[in-house]
Amino acid sequence: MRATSILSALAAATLAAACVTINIYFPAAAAEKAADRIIEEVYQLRKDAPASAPVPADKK
Amino acid sequence: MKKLLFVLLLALSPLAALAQANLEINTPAINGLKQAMAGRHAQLAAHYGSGAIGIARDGSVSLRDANAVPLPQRAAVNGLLGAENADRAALYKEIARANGKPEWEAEIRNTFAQRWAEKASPGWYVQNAQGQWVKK
Amino acid sequence: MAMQQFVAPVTWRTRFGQRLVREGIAALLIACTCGALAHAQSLQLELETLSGPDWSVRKLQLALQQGGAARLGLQGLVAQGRAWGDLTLECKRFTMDRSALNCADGNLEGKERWPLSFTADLARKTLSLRVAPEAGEEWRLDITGVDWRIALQNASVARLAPLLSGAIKPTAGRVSGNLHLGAGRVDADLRIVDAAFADATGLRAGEKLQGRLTFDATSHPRLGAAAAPADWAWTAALAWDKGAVFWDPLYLAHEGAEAPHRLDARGRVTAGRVVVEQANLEWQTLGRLSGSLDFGRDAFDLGSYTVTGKGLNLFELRALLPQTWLDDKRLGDLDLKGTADLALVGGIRGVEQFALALSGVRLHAAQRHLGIDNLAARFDYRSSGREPFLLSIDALRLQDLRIGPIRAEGELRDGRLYIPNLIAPVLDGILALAEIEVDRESFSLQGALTSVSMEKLTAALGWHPLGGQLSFVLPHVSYARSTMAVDGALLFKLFDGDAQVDAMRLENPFGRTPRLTANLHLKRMNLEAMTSAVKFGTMTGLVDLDVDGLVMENWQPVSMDARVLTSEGAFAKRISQRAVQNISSIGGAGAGAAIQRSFLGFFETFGYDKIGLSCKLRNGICEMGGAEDTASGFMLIKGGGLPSVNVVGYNRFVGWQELLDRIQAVIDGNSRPVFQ
Repeated sequence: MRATSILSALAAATLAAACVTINIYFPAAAAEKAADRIIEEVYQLRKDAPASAPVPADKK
Repeated sequence: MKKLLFVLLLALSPLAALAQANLEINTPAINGLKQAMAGRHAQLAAHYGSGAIGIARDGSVSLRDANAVPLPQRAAVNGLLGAENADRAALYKEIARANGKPEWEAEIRNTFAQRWAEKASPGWYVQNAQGQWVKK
Repeated sequence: MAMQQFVAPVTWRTRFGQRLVREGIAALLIACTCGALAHAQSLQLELETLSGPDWSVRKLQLALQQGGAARLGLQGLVAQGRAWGDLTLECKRFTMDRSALNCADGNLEGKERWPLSFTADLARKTLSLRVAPEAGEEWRLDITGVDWRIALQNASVARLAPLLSGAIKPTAGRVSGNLHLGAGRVDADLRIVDAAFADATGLRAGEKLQGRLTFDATSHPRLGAAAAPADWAWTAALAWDKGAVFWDPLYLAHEGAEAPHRLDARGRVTAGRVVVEQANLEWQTLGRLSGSLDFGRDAFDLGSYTVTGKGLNLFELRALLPQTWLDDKRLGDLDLKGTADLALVGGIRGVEQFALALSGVRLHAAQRHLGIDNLAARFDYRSSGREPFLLSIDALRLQDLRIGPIRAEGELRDGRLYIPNLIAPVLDGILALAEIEVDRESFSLQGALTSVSMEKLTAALGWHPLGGQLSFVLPHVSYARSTMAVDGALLFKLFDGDAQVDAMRLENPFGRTPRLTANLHLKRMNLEAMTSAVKFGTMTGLVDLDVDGLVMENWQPVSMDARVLTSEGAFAKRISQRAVQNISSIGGAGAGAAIQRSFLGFFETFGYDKIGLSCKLRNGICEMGGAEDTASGFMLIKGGGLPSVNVVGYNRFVGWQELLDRIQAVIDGNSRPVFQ
């Protein structure tokens, strides 16, 4: 009984640790920043975005 | 157990700090995809506005109600969506690859899914976590 | 005046409705009408909660008055799993004798109000019903025993939408014509105007459709099998005058100006399967397609099928492709002409035979600078067996480059195409390909190009003019799983030097993110041939170019170890002042101005010992190097002979983009005089 509880605690700890590692490894904030930069260019929300300038010219 | 966690966190914190630096998104492949998508956006924007297409929760664009599009243009909308989603899939993969972490692809896709929705203009349809379409 | 008033307050509250089925009501009605009403002048009946196997009514009210009005009210009608709400049938003049009911000036009122009239004779089993929902619209039903005749005049098909259970619903349209369902015979002749249909997603829809459908089917009882369902033989003809249909991914439209598209078909229905024995589709301007197929009547599972077409006009195929889709592929100005014959045979295991003969095909995509002139081909694919293959093309065009004429013969063997040899003239050389093998997902080949003038080639492709000759040997090249790989070394001659490309792989060559990896080694290239072509300033001598670990994404390098260095051995080594300046500018050394200010400005050319420039590209940054390292920098030009000049660079790290800008500036700078 005791052995199983220790085992499950260990398993839980390993699991928790594994989760934490993954969360730390993926740079969520940086990814969000990178995504925003790309999305703003695609949606042409930035006035200085280089992609926004040639598009109307292309269409003509 | 809390102590163990704390130690683990402490041990990993330098890694975390390192990882929070900027992601590499300035590669020829990513720039090429970005340009293609920006060029396509003007055509897609009208269909976002009419509700024909919406921002799906999986980081893609999907067809909501093609009845909002005049019949002769429907095949074109489908074609645009196909091209856009192929580019988006390639974009998530290329960002993961440019940062030397191909295993990040799914999380990059998730991040993008949220940001596409966040940056959507008012009036566009966005799919919520339950899969329902909600007008922004 | 003493009008006999017999009000029968029959208020029958039934709580055992489940047992009351249709026949029960009919019996009750007849009992009431024939029995009670023969004597009574009026009758009122109210029933609550009636239901049958697939219907229920919350409340039924019936009020009859001999020679006067009749009213039948149904509240909360649910039938076939659908709620119909409240329905009221009212007749202003209602008469009845022994077995006949007659309703004149009636109305059916639900969500809408439809004028109607009917006569029914229960003894002779006839019913004649006329409904006119709108002015000019009429639905007539005449039943005599098992013979049903429906006559429609401007009948709005959208009214049928709630009755239909399929995913596709009619949303608009008027039908006029006759439909007859008799014993062993069904025939119809219907004209459809301004019809529209759609499913919920809008991926299958039609608009403004106009046409005519005729249909005739007769049943033939199967001999010796009285209990089995009869076989039906049918013919159908559809003429499509006008309108558009989108059936993802196809968009078909008929403007209405030309003759109608026609589909004629005949076949059988037997043992649960619909067999189309012969169908002919005459599609204006495309041509005529014939075919046959069979499918399950319930599950629509496709059995075997054939399609044949002769002299199909390919120009029409171009019109079937959506313009914006073509624009996205940069094929918006695609020009396609020619004719095709095709034959397709398939079954439940897929395509068994696909034969295609093309002739006089011309394909031009000006925006992509691609073209094919006068292509003819015979292609006969069979899932097993051997068939010959023929291909001839007058010219393939890429920019201003013409490749051709091309003649190729081969064979299709078990679904794979083999072409042993293919010869194509390219400018003043010849491209020869051999051992070509192609199937659905992969191909492989070998080949060689005999020497072609680089000057002509670069001019034809619109590239920077280069001198010398190009020739190459392609070892085994294969494409599979979106990756093209070259096994062995690709050898070619460039600027009199020997070039070798190893370990070349190209991922996604046809996608948006092509990725090339390779190693490149060019030995003993003639500097004079190279530099005279780009107006860089004259240099004489030989150089080696080595690029290891080259990775290109979207045709731009992202990482490599590249180095240009003077070759080993003895040969004349001179460099012009202009070339010195340009190399200096690329190295960022700024030596050009220094030369002009010094006495060296008097000399036109210099001697050198070594010229070298290297770039180790990682993450957009180029780590530069020269022919030799010095204590604090790197030597781009190591002087030798008289007069001699050394050029040393100090800034080792430069952004790749900046380096490209420097090279561009040098090229642009050459258009204006550098010194007096």
